[in-house]
Amino acid sequence: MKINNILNFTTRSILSVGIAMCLAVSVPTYAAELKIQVQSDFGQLDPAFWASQSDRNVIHAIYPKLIEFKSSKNWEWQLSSAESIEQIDELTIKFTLKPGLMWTNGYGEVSAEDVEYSFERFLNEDLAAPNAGDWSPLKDVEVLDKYSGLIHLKEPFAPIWWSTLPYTGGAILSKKAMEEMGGKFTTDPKVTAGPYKIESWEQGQRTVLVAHDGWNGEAPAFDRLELIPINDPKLAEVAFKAGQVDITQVAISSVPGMQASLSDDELLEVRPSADYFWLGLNAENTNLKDARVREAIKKAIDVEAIIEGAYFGIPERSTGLVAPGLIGHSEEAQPPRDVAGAKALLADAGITSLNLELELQNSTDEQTAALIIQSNLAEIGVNLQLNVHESGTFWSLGDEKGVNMQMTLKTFTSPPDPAWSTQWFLEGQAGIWNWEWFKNAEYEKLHYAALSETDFGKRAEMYEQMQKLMDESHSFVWLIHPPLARVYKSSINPGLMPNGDYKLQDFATAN
Amino acid sequence: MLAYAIQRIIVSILIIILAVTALFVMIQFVPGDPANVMLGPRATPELKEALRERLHLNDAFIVQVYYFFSGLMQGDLGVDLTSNRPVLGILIEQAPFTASLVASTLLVTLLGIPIGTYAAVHRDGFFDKASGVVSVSLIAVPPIVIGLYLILFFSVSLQLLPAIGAGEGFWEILLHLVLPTLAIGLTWIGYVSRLVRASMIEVLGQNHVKTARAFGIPNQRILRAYVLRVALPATITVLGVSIGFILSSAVIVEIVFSRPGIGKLMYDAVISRNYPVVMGTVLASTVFIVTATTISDLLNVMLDPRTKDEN
Repeated sequence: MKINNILNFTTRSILSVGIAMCLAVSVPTYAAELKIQVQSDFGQLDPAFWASQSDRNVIHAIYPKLIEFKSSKNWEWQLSSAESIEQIDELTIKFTLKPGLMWTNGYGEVSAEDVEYSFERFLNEDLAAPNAGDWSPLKDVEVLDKYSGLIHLKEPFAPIWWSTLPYTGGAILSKKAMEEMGGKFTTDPKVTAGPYKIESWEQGQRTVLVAHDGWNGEAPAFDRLELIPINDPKLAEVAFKAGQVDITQVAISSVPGMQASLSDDELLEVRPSADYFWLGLNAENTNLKDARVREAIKKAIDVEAIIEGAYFGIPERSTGLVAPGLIGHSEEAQPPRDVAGAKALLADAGITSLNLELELQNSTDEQTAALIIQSNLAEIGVNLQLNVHESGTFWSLGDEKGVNMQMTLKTFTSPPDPAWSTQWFLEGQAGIWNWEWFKNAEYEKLHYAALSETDFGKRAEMYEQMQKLMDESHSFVWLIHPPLARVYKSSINPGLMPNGDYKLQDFATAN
Repeated sequence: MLAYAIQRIIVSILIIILAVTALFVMIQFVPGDPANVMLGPRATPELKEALRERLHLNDAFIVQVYYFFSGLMQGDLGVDLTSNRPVLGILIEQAPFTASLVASTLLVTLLGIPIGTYAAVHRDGFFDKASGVVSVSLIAVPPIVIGLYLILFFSVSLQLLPAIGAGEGFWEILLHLVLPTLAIGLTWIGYVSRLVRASMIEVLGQNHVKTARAFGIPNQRILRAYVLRVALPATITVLGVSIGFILSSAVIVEIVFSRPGIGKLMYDAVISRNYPVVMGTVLASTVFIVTATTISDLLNVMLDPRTKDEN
C-alpha cells in the first residue's frame, strides 16, 4: 500500500513537473521582440497622475493622442490619431480623429466623446490631479460628431502645443471603461488604444507590451517589447554586455570607456536632456543677501573644470534654464571664470573670509562637482562645507532649512515647454521649490504673459528675457543640461524623443 | 515540549510587535515627505495636505501605531503610495522571489556540513588546510563583491548565466537563481564548514566517541550516530540565525542582480519614502526571521533536550 502511494505520488510529481515545463516552454513566440532597460517600474499610468520617466514611456505607447512628438533631435510634432487639427482662433482648436481606431477588450471605436472625457477630467476637482495644470486653461471640449470636436480654452495657452497635446496630457482614455472604473485607476487601465497594449506587468521584473491590432496608425516594427527595470546605469551596462537587454542607458562616466571599446554591433548615442543642473545661491540668506557676494561666487566657479572633472567633458556648458531645442533657449554664452573680479567684489563687500554650506545629493558626479566648487571658492577665501544627502532627505530640505539654506546643487526635470521650468522660480514658490528665493516682478509678469503668447518669436524673446533677469540676480550658476547616454545593438534603430525619452512605437530595425 | 513551543511562539509575537513599533519610532526621525513622493512636484500644497491627512501623517505617533495595528488585524497593510495598490498584495507577489533565494542559499550553505566533517575527520590533511584557506577567504569577502565578480565572469565574459532578473519558466528561474545564491551562499559555506569542523573535532575527542571506537563500532556509524548528532545543534542554531543575515544580504544581492523581491522592494521604498511599503516589508522580514529562529530553537530542543533549559 505504502509503495503504491509512493509510486502514485512520484507519478503525480513527474507529471506536474512535466506539465509545468511544457507550460514554461509554450510561451507564445513573436516575430520581433526587443528587451529595453528602463530606470524603474511604472507607478502611475493615469495621465493626470504620472510622475516618472518610466510612467511617461508607457503612457506614450499605450494611449492614442491627437498629435505626438517625432522621434528626432528637434521638438517637432506630427499628427497621430488625429486626421487633422488646427487652431481656429486663440481660444479654439478643431480636431478630427482618424476613423477605425479601436479600444482593446471590445470597447468599440475611439470617438470625440472619449477625447472630451479625457481632457475635461483634468478639471474635475474631486479627481485632485497633480497634473491638472496641463489643462488649467481648458473651458470644455465640444463634440461635433463621432470623430470631430472643438477644444475651447478660457485664455490663450501656448504650451498646449508643446507640453499638453503631444505629451502625457494629450493621452485619450476610454470614457466607457473609465466610468466603469469609477473615473480613476493607477496601474491597470483595463482598456487602451495606443500602438501597444500591456500584456503583463510583474512588478520589479518586467513589463511586457505587445502590438495592439486595433491601432490604425503605422504598425510598430516590434511585436513585443519587454521593459526591464534596472535602476543603476552601471548594472544596466553589465546587463547589456551580458546580452540581456538590447538597449540601455549608460552612466556618463562610462561614455569615454565605452566609446573606446564599442564592438561592431554596438552603437552609443548621447543626447542633452531638457533637464537643467545648476548651483543655486539663496538670496534671502544672511550670508548671501549681498548681491556682490553672490556675483563673486558666480565669477569664481570654473564651470568648464566641473564639466571636465565630473562629466568627462561630454556636455556643453548651459546658457540658462532652457535647454537647446526648446523655445526660448538662450544662445548667449555665460561669462568665463574671473578670480580677480571675484576677489575684488568680495573686497568691495568688505568680506575677507566667509564660511558657507553647500547641500547636494550623494551621486558621484554631484560630489565631484561640489569638490571642484569647494576648491574654486577656497581661492577667493570662501570656506565651503559640503553637506551630502541621499535624495529623500535632500528634497525635503526646503521645508526643513527654509532661508537658512545657503547653496544647493540641483537638477530639475523639464517637459518640452519652458513654462514648466520658469514656474518654479515664481515668488509663490520661494522656499517650496524656489530655494534661491528669487523674486522679480518683471519675471512674474513675463511668465504669465508667455503662457498666453501664441506668437512663437515673441514668446521666445520673453523666455530669453526671463533668463537674463535670473542671471542679473546672481543667484544661479548654470552648469549643464545633463546628457542622456544610451548604448544599443546596431541591429536596431531606437525611437528616441529629443530629450532621450523612449518613444517605444518608433523602435525599428536598422537598415 | 509543547509548553516550551507555546512560550517560544508568544515571545516571537512580542518581538514582532516591538520591532514594528521601533520602526514607527525610527520613521518619525527620517526626513522626507511621502506626499511629495506620491503627488510629485506639480501638486498643490492643498493636495499634499489632503494626502497627509488621509495617510494619518499629521496624527500623533501613537495614533499612527494604532491605525497600523488595527489595519494589520484586518489584513490591511495600507497602500503603496506610488501605485495605490494594496501593500499586502505586493508583498505576496514579491515574497516568492526572496523566499526562493533564501531557500536556495540555505541549501547551498548545507554544503558546509560535509566539507567541515571531511576536514575534521582528515584534520591537518591537504583538504583540511585548503578548505580552511578558501573558507576564511570567502568569509572575508562581502556578498556584493562576490556578486559583481560572478556577474563579470559568468555573465559578461562567459555569457553562461543570466546577470539580472528572476526569469520565467522552471529552468529559467533556476538559472537566474544560481549567481545570486552563490553570491550570498559562498560566504556561508565557508562559515558553516569552519563551524562544523570545530564542533566535530571537539566531539571526536570526547569519551563517548573513544568508548565507541574501543567497542569496534565502524567509523561511519560513529560519525553519524555519536559525533554529528552532538555537533549539529550548534550548526542548526547558526543556520537559524543565518536566515536573518541571508535576508539582509538578499537586499543587496537583489539590487546587484536587479531581482524582484522583498529586499529590492524595501530598498526602493526607503529611497522614495514610501512608508506603507517600508512597514510592510519590514514586517514581512521580521516575521520571516523570527519564525526561522523559533523553528531552529525548537529543532535544537528536539535534537538535544538539554538546550531547552539553556534557552
